[in-house]
Amino acid sequence: MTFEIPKTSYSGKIRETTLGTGDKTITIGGETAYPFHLFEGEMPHLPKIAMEVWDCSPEDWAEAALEPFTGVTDDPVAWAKKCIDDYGAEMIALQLISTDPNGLNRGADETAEVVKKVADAIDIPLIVWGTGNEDKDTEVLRKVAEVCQGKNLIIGPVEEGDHKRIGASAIGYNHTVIASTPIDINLAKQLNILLSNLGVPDERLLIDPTVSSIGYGIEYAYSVMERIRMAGLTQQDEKLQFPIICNIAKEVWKTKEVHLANNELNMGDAKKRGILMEAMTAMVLLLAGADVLIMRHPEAIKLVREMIAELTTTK
Amino acid sequence: MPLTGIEIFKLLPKTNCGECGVPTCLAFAMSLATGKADLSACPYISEEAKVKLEEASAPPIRPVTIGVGDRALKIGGETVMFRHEKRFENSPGFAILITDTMDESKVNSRLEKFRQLQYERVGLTLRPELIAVKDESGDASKFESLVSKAKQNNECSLILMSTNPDILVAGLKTCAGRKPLLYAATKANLDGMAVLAKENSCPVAVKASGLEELAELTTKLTEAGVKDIVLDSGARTIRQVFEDQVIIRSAALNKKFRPLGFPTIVFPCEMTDNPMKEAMIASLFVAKYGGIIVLSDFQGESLFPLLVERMNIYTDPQRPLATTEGIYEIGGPDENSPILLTSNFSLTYFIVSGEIETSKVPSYLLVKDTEGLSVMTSWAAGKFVADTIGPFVKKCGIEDKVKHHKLIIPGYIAAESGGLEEELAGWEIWLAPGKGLISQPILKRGNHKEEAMFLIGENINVMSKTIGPALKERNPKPIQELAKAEVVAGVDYLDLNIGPARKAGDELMEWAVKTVQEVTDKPLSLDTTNPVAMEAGLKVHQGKALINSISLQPDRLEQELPLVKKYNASMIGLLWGTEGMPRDANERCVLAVDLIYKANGLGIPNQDIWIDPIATPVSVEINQVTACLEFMSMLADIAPECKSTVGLSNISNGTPTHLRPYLNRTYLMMLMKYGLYSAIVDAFDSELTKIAKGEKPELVDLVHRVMDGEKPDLPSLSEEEVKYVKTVRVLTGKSLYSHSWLEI
Repeated sequence: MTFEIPKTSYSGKIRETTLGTGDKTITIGGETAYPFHLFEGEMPHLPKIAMEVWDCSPEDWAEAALEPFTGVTDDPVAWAKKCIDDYGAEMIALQLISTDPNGLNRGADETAEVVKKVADAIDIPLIVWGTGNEDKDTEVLRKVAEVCQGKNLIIGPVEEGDHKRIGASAIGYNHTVIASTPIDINLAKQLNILLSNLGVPDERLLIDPTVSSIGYGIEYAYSVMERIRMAGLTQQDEKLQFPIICNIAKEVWKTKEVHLANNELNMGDAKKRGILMEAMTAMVLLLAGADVLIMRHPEAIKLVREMIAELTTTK
Repeated sequence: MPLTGIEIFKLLPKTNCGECGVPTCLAFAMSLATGKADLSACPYISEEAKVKLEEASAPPIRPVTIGVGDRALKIGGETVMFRHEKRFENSPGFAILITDTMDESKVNSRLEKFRQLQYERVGLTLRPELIAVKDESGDASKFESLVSKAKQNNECSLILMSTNPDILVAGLKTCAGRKPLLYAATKANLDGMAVLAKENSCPVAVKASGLEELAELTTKLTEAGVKDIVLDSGARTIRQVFEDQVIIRSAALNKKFRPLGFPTIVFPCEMTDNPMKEAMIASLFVAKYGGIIVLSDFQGESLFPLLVERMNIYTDPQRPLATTEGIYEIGGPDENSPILLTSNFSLTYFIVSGEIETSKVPSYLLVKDTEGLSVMTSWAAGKFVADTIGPFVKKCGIEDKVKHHKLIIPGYIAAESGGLEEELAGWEIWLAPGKGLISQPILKRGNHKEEAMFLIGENINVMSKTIGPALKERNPKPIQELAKAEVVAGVDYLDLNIGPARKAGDELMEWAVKTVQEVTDKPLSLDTTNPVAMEAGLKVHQGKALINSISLQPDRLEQELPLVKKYNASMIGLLWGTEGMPRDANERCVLAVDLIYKANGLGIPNQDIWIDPIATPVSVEINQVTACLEFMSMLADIAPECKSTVGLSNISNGTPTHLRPYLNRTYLMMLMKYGLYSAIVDAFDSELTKIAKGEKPELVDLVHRVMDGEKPDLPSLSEEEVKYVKTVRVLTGKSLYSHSWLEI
């Protein structure tokens, strides 16, 4: 029986974006088909995983998540280097937890120094992620952008309320911005338009659709991401043809389930459970169109890398 | 793609006979198109038209049922590639594999896991559905006995796996009535499998090598009259299986290619030897179009995430999962536990209940039916407002479960708090801070039980310049005035300190108790070292008195402990031993255990014992201050259900009078961290009362954070907050006390 493989007709392409500087830049995006639909189109750059580093010692991490980073969690530079040297990180995502006004509330100058130290110590692309407090992020990320001029950092979250001031700094000091909206395709598009109008170059923008863990409403982010990809690839919506970044580590590792003990509530091995919650969350979001995943556990990352490799292996 | 009404109309007799129950053929066609009518209602339809219509109206992916009864698994019936386009209909089944060459113990363990690994979530039970029984021995009798064993579980559907129809016949002998899935028909055994499937009315899976062969085989099976088919393209590499799933779904939906219009089965168990990776592969096919997912084994750590992923992906995007309205008890709350309110959007429910569980503060969560809308959306739609929340809180029954009337509402609906206080007379409405739904500090505060924190007013004291003479002269007025004022100020108990009262103490105490109880119905804390006076007071006291206090000195124990039981009173157990003041937390523990043991021996229950670890002045010995705190953190473990209290003002003895409140308040907040039940306090420090009654959550939170080692940015704090931060540092021994500690 002759059988013709049905193919989607694509009319658009995701923009290619180059992150970082020097020899170890990373290019993402460029897809011409739905994720892993290699029988229909191309994925010239495979999705990348950024390893998470906190700018202060984590206090409430599950044992399983802390264990791989024993001895370095109070030093972001050492932590970042360990990610690269021991776990082969492709990118680093520095989470500015200490700047949270409801937490340690560390100031912009001090924080920018820490970011600078990390940026100087590594040669792979660096993502710098604020707390989502618009006033504080404006203050901190503007300073970070200035102090790290020329590093082509990826900075976010840039939200509607702070996009002008953070966006302007990013343009001025040549960084890439993460446009962050709350699980809503219309708002995502709107913010991309606003940032474009402001002058953020198209190759300097990533979309953060706001994601959650499996078991905690991941279907919302999943469908928003599928719709973003559909709009970009089949409806020529230029304002949605940007790579997507998913900040998943914090979401997964704060869930109740990763903190349960071994076999509590019939949920098996605590460490493996945490790893699988994170890796499966990553898997689901990769299928919806993630280009960059921010992850925590080295073993979860290894599993996800294997899945990416096998989904894209030549036949 | 179903036909439109007009397309159906063209195939109808167009006689408008009305016998179908609808006046015209056009109306009938429209009813058919919307699924409201059945074709069989038309007596005059031609055979040719019937075939065409049935074919056209058949779903593009056939729904297939495996198993029987409530637990039957329905798969297929899908109509879209992406869930947001409509919804995914039938979630994939998870199967566990057992084979007839496996050790019996391994088989038993897998069957046990199948039975055991189930999870409750949003009122649903998440569980696997299938047991796949595989022939590896080639021995029909072995297979048959393994099938018999598997089918003992009535809550599963079965997959019988063998490419030899004779062996499947043996398996079917014991379970044909359960309508198992037969796996699998292949090019080599197709005819035999077709007969087997038809004779037993069982669904059958087809395994091919590639999609073209798959389509050929299903076509043959269909021609042979087999309708319920499940597809296996034969691929076992991740990339190829993924592509096959997408292509099969797309061919069926977008090309209406009937030979592939069936649900699929995938085998992560045959694609890797690594259980973690197997779980990852399974997660891929939960999202991308697997119909049945066969796993080698189940582990809680992988099955649970797969089950919740499946629930998420198969949630109807138009109709988000809603949680049932009602009271959810999290962590075993009691009558003093905090009460929180949220909407019944399941995602909101998860976030809030997850935070409560993480906080380990037992709580009541009131979930109000908001038609599945989130807090913000339902508030905007007028479904989550004072008018609707008020009646819900009243009728839900929470008032029977708690002693307090404090409701924590999401910060998002701050605007409703005024209205709610009107709707719910006598209730206090608290806001979860910020815009958040809930945050942990507000819950942790609940743990310190300040809703239930009892304040014992210390002001009626023989040492006072007005009370001393009044007691001596039996002048009731100053005493009664003061008692009334203390009650107005918000205390729960009135301490009546008549001192040692060596002379006619019994008569004095009797008079004092009567005098105070004339003007208030608050219970009294009788405070004297004279046992005879104590008993005289207890005799006339109305309600449950508190004996202040009984220490471990033998004569006090001997004389006063029996009074507690005799007068059904409560007692303050002062941790003062035969050697005087305990030196550290451990000595306090030893004394507490000793005292409680002796009290229990006389039939005094723990609830009636209020342990006082003895607060000492900060200016004397800071190690005693911290020892008192340390002991408090251990009390709940060594003496569950015992209450606690402390003579709070002791902490600030000998410090400048105008600064004493800072020390008293701060120490109270510090003790609250460890669940202090009550305190003997200056009734007229209104700020202190607010703290004790839970009206200063941010301040308490700040103090607790500083205790935890946090170093807040002082310039960002108010002047007042800075004072408390400094005081915490003094009371934790981080900086040495001096009278000008606040200025440094």
